[in-house]
Amino acid sequence: MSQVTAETGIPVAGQETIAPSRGLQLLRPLQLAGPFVVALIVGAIVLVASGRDAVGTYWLLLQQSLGGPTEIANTLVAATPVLLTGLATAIAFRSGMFNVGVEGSLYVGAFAAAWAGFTLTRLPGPLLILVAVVLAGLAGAVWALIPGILRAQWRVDEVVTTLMLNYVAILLTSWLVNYFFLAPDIANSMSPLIASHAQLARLLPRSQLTIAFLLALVVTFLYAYLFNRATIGYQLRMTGLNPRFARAVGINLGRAIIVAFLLSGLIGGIAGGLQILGVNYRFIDHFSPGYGFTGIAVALLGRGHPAGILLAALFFGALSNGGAMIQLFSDIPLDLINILQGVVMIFAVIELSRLPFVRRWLQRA
Amino acid sequence: MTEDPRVAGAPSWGASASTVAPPRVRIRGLTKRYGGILANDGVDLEIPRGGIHAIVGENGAGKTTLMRALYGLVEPDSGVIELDGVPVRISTPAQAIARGIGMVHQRFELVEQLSALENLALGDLPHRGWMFDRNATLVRAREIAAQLGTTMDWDRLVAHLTVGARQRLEITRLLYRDADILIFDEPTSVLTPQEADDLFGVLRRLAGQGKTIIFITHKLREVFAIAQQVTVMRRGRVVASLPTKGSDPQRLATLIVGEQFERPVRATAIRPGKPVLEVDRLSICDDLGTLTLRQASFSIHAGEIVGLAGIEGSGQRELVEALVGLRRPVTGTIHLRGQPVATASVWDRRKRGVAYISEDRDAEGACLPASLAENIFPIERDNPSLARGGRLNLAAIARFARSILSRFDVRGGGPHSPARALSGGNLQRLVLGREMQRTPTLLIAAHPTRGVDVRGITFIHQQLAESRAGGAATLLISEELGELIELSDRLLVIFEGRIIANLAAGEATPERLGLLMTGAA
Amino acid sequence: MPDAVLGVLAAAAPATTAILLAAMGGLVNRQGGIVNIGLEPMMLVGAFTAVVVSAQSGNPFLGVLAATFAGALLGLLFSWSITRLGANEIVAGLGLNLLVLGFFGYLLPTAFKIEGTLLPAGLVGLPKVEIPVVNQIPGLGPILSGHDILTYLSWLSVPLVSVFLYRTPLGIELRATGANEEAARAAGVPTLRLRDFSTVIAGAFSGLAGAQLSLGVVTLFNKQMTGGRGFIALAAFYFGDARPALTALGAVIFGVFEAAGFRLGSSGVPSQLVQMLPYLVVVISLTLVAVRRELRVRERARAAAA
Repeated sequence: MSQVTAETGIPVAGQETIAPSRGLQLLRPLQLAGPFVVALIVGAIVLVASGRDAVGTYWLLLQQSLGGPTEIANTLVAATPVLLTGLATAIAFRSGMFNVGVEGSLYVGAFAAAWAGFTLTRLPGPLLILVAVVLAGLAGAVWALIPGILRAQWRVDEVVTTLMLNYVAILLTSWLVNYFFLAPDIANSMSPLIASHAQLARLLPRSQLTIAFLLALVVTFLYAYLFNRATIGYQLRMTGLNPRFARAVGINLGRAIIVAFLLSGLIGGIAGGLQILGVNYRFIDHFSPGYGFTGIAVALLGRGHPAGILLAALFFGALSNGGAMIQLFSDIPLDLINILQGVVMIFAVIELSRLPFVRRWLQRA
Repeated sequence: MTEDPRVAGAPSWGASASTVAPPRVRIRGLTKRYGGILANDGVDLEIPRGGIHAIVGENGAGKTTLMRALYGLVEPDSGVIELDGVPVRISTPAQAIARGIGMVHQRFELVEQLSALENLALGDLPHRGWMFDRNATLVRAREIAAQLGTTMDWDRLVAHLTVGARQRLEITRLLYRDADILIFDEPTSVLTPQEADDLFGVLRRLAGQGKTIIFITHKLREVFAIAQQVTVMRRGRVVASLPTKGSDPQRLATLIVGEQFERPVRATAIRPGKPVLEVDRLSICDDLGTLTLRQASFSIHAGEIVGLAGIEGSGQRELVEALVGLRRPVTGTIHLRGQPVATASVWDRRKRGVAYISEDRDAEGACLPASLAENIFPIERDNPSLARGGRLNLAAIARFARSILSRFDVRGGGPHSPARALSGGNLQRLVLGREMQRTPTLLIAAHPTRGVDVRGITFIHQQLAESRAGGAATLLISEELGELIELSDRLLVIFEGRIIANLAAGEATPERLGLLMTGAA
Repeated sequence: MPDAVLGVLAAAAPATTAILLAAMGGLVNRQGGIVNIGLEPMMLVGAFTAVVVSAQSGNPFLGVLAATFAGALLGLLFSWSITRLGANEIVAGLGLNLLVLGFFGYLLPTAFKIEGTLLPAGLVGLPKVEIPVVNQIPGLGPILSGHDILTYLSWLSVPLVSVFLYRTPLGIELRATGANEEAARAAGVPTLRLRDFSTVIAGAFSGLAGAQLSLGVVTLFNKQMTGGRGFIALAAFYFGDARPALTALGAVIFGVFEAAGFRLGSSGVPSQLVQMLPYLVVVISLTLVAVRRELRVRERARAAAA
């Protein structure tokens, strides 16, 4: 039975210096923009097929996502969780680990932050926020440690374990919130509100922008720092590029795997925590529209490069925010965004160069 | 070489050429080039019908390429293949099989999760209606097994079959497809001596039934055990083709390794110092759990280069891995300067001065997608001037890399170029730069000049001599016997997992080594 | 046996059908060498197609047939992206989940002008089949009889898949492809086409599963109706190591828990914990397999040196 491997075909940042042929060189920027373009085309087809004005819709989307300071702010808010989950996923990918379990870390991190927010209310504001974020990160890291140890110690394939543990995390937090931490006065499945001094302050009126986005930017810089300047980042990168080489020069693979999972889970947990502290203010059962999974697409599209990940996250943020907004102004269902996101994910991993007509074009180039 | 390549002493079936039956296989002028390497250079070969024909030669002599051309796995650049006098074109294994040619490779092409019977007929499973016609296949299977004089548990999963049984299954598969010419590529490399004898019995039987068997091997002992004819190849050409009966093993060994061997200028004799590496009764298993190194014991002293000669697969690879720390021995001890290191981590040994030039440059010696600096840096990553407090000093690392690149004359890029851009020779210089920028305590050099240009080879030899003069203990593994003899102070020979000889440099000649390596001594 | 338990078991049968069918399809796919995490969207497509075609034609069986084809077609396209265009099967699977869910979320309000549930006029569900004599057996009767035809088909699929994989030439070649593609190709097996075929089977079975949900269990279409069953089917065939009997057992167990979970909820056992079980079981079983493998290698090495 074939083993599912981590061959996502992600060319990791720094790997693309030599292009085998001019043809493929020309294709490269196309490959980066390709999935977006294809998604927009597919979306346009869907819109037109349902008798809607595609151009008008996209214009509205653009306006609602980037048309003014409030809109841009809300786009940044929407981009924050997927930026973090994208970074979390990319850390694992670049270390050679196919971790698709960031959604799980997100959930447990979110829950931990919410718990701190409505339990440790005695703490003063800034400290409470700090503690909440730290707990969120720890929870996410511990959650990722499970598949990490299984992989490091027993070579258990991490793809399936991380995938399964996502649903365990979602159900686990659902159980916790419904049976132990239900808000007393509300019928829905949600926890009590976090203390008001735990809520992140709004940076821009009429938007949900908080320092959460700035924190996400900080994490982006840390990610870049990790892989460019940190010794441990160097070790992770070598492990991802060539594990045999890494072993032969004395890098401890087991330790590298654990570190990769810990960092991945840590950031995933923080993503969840910041969502609670900045947007939701409470833990809501099944609150995530798949931030973790979108993070995978972000990591892939960004090719593991911090700038690429940021751009991809902004794109998804724009889509998500714009989509939510146009729902108010038109009867276009938000699900259009899911269609676009799904198409992007699929096309992010398709090798266009394999299509026969593309291959022939390349041979002529 | 002036040996007549035509088969000498072949039975003559008549005076006039027209009544002489054409050979079963005739290859004329076959040439195959891989990039810069000429794998087959105008090969002429005749193989008569029936009987066992061995093809011998060192690694890279071109034997496997030739057979792969015959089996349709490789498209020759030029040349003719004739079967029974008729020129044929074989471009795919399917075509070869259709013409009755079958090949058993070194790595078996069996699906472990299926049964022996299913593997036998895979690709052409007989069926009755919708169902796999197990009975009909079984009948045929048993027929063939009887023909071979073997038995097989046909319902057993291949995963549970011994290596010998798997090989028998592969042979049965060839006969199932009505192969008449059977090619074997180093068949005994994976077998125990007992299994090898069983195989020989099978081959003799098949030859007796009129099949033509071609047998690639390193081991002269086997050639004399079962082959009627032997062809010697070296550097892509046939250097001799003669009957085994009455042939002198010594002479064959010479033909294999070649006489173009200048007596080397002996390096200045250095009195070896204290023992640096002491290996005592080391036994190691490979990934499948097969014992590949048995009770090896030897030592290497400071300032000494010990060469290890042996045909590929004799256990050197596992020995090297155990010395570096990539594989745990099953029994035995390894001492480095008196300290036991058999279970020490790779990093620990690196810090104790163990340097490693891997035989697998692209996959293990270097990280191709990474930059040159990143390839040079790893062993020095705890050097405070290069990285302190978990933080890399990029400028210092680049400087360090530049100094090594210039010291070792690596051409093809700067510290930030990808290693992929380097040629083989330059990449090897890079590897040497990383491993030998400080004189190592113990240097393990596995095939260091493989795939390296002439200028690079000279450079590498110089480096080895320099570090030797600096007191390093070196284990040198190479398939170039000349190089081995030229550089080593002492020579060990490994055969089938055992160290069978320990010679002083003066006692070693290529002929002697050739015989020892092939188990014919 | 207490009536409550019997009641659960009787209700469990049709409830597990969808999981069982999808698990069988996923199993065949896995044997062909592809881990298909797109069973859920394929099921949903089948459910939708079944409802639409059944309503249009007034014939539920046509609906089932159409659902099978729809699932198979989606499977083929999905497979091509993996085998011909080199897409990573996990990422493509996740993308497919998003895409299809989004598609139906968009389609329902847009084309049908409804928000949640599609209940077209003229929709005919699958009839229940009563087996004479069997349905008279006390206790067992309601468990064995009175289900829709797809439930019985799902039971039949277990031995059918088993026979297919282990006794037919095509099945043997399929298993070879999944186990060792290189060796299979060297033997002349058309591996790419076989892998595609295995995914088409998975799609067809998932389509059937969806039809059973939308025409058998209930008679409507709702974009949430698959409820994670595709992933439970995945858990089932991982639990069963892609072997038919064991996978079926897993599917039944997980399905029963799924059905029982809602009832147990009122008696104190949280449904979430029950729902968690399949996923935990997969992780545990994968770990056990890996541990056993490692121990075996160490054992062999030790024996060899002795």
